[in-house]
Amino acid sequence: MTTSNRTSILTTLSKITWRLLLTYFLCVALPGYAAQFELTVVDSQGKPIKDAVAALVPAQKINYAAQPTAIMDQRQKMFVPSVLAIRVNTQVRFPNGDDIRHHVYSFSPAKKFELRLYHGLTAEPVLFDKPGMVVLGCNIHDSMVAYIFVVETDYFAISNEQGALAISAPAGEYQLQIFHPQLSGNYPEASLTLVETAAQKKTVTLNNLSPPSSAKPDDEFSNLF
Amino acid sequence: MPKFSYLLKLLAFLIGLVIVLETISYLATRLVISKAVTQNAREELLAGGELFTRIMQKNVEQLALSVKILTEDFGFKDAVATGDEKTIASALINHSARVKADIGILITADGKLIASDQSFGLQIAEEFNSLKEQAQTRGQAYDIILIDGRAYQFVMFAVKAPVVIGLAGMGFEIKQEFSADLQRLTGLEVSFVSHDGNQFHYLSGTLDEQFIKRLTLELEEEKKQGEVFVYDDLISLAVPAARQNNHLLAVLQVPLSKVLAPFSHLNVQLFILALVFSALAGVAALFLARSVTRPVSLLADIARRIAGGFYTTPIAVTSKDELGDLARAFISMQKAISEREQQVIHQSEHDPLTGLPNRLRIFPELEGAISRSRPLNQQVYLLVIDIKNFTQINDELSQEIGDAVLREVGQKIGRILTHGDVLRLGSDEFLVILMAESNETIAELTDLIHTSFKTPLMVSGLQVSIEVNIGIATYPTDADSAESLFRRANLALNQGRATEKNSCWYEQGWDEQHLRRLLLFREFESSLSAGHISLYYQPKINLEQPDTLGAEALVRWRHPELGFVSPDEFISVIESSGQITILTRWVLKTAIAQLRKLLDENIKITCSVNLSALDLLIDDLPAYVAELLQSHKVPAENLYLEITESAIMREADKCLNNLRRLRDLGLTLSIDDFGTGYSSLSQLKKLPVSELKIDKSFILNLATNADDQLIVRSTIDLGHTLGLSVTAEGVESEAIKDLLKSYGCDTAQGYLYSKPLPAKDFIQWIHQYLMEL
Repeated sequence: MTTSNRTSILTTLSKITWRLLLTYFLCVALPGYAAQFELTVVDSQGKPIKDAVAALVPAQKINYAAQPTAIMDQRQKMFVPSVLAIRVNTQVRFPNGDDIRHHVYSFSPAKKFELRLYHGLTAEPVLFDKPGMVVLGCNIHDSMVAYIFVVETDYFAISNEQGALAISAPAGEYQLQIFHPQLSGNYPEASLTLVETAAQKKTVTLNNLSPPSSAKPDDEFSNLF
Repeated sequence: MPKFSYLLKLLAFLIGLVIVLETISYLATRLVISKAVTQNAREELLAGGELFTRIMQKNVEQLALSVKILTEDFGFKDAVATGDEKTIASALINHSARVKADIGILITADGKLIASDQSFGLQIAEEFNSLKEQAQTRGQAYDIILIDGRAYQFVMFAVKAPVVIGLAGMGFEIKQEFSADLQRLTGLEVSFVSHDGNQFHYLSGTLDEQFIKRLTLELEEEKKQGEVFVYDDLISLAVPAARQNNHLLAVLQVPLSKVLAPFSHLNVQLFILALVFSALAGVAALFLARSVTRPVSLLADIARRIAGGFYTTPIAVTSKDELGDLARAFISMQKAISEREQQVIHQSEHDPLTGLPNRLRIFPELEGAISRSRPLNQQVYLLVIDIKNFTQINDELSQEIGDAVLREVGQKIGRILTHGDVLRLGSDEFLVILMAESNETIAELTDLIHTSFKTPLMVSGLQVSIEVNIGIATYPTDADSAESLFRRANLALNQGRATEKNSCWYEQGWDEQHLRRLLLFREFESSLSAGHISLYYQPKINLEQPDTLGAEALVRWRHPELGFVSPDEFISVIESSGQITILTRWVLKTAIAQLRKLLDENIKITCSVNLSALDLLIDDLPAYVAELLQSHKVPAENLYLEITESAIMREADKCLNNLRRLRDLGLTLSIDDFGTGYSSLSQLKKLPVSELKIDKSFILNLATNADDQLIVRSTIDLGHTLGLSVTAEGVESEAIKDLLKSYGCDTAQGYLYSKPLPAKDFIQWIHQYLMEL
């Protein structure tokens, strides 16, 4: 058996493991919380906004010692997911799902790092220990871009195609934080109290969205002249 | 020279035509070429504009690439992301140098400008606004920026990590070399101009200094972009130097001269072609003109020869064109003229009646004969033959018969002659020209002619008897030229007629006499008016009563050159010319005036005036005499008129009538020269005369000649018997006078008394005579 074969088996195994874990979290762990927060994110025209991150930061600051793991995969020269939300002190792994190398980097102040050209699972996980937005890029593939929002809470979610998201959290006082890759500046925080009896529902309108940075950067010079 | 004028005209016409055509085609070609070339140039210019844009685009792409290399650099990105200004500046300097940029700048996300040349960078910072915006939104931008009148191509890229963390740009000055490169690639003059809102500024380019100022002015006027315009022979096109920037233009130009340059040698070729064609036209004109003028001048020569009377010039007809027609027409004309002239000459030289040569041929024939005779040593005889009784034949028979007689006579003479020529001189006269060695031959011939005419001619069933007179003159014996020969033969004929000789040979002196008569005839009237002719008077004395005076007026002509001309001579001349009537009137007038004068001196005298036969035929003579007598108050009985017996021979009735009318005036008529003519007693009886003058030929020898005495005595008796007084003329001696007196003659006239005297002398003589009585 060659080393490469072994590695591929390992990759497959780890994939299965992480999926099982995710399923567990979604199906078993979540119903544990009593209060429910449902948020719809729309733009100024009322269209639903996808990939908006909402985080409920408890009023009481918590020191998160545990270091959970999150995954930012790279498939077909794209980061998957393109927007990831994680709690502070989360280890993010960058498994390379492509059969080419990537050179993932971030010059964001929240986390500046560089994972030089690597294959498969060879990259060391990166610990995101500061809250904030981290923009990920690939030095080889300019079109690859992903955003990791590092928040100081365990209760957060990302809006789906319908601009909807739901967060289950214990009842209590929270600060609502909204993030989006195209949102220039910080969206103002809002205080929020969750109760167990009824689900808190809210709609947020994001106004100052910059146009989506072209997914396909203009490589043609022809229209320069 | 008329011959060349046609050539010149044709030459001028053809060459002119060629020049006009060539000029038109040259101009047309030029126009078309110029138009096509200009159009082509426009299209090429538009294509050049396209090419220019492409090249510029490629150039910008290249520049963009060189800038992009920087912005893609991970280290540079790192430096930008970390805001490491020193590193950034050094990177900019390094990269600018590498890509040969004039400046490199970076604008950080928070707007800070870092430049390879910081001071220059700051200077141009303001220009970046539009670039920045574009780079921000599109990730890249390009423009041409003006600083200090210099143009810079500026490329700006967003520095992405992967989101935009800054903007990096590089500036490349547009230098002369750049324009030169563009010129090399496009083949066009390339200029960059800017517009600052007010006017255009020339930035750089390949255009010659001299055109630059004009260009900016033109641009302001035209203000056209993308359209071709022309000025100063420059085909121009203004295109934007950068698409985003409308105050910066690239002007592409091509000089018309350059476009047309390849065609200038075409012009030369066209010109040479025109010259060649002109030369060809000249040659063609020459040949054409020759082909026309040569036959024409040939025909002109022939025409001149025809005019000169030559009709035998051969005319070669080779061409079948109009000139050939003309030549054929000439041939037939020449022939026709020749024939007609022959005919005309023949007609003019021949008598239509007899077909004989006419008088026009006389001298040519004579001269021909004369010239032929000389080497032969022969004489030329000219015979003039006339029909003696032709007038009679014409009158008594008819004109037709007369004509037939002439024909017959001509033919007959022709038949008799074995050689020589017969000509018809006119009316009834014929000429025969002969050559012979002796007169005998001719004498025999003339006898033969006369003999042959003894047989009457048969004309229209009539027998017509003909007699001819022949006058003969000989060359060189009688005459030394054709003219004199002809004249002398005629004289001989006349002489023969007068002397009743059938054949009369010319004799020496006749012609001179004839000429003298001609002279007298010509001189008579002028002599009369000049007073060279005067009247002399000879006394006529009554033998019984010597104091009864009479006179005969006699004409005397003293010609200043010829001297005294005898009355017998000149009277016969002026009688034959008819001038006698003029003389008679003059004599009558002068004599009557003289009578008046004598009567005024109380001299009782009569005066006799001679009348000619012709005078008697003039009916107004009696009236004239009466008028003269009346105007001079001279009694009619003082005037005697003398006539000769022969005077009354012609038209006797008329003469008698006039004589009676004269006698009725009361004057006396006398018979002059009685006894010399054919005196007819019956006639004498009829004449209303009162006097009879016996001719002096009977008187001169009266004293000695018995016959004369007999004649004179009987005549006197006869006269008296008829109741006439008798006058004797030519009384020159007393003896004769006494004889006459004894015969009973009434009056005498002669040298015994006096010769004829001029009027003045005559009066003197009368006085003398009367005194001596």
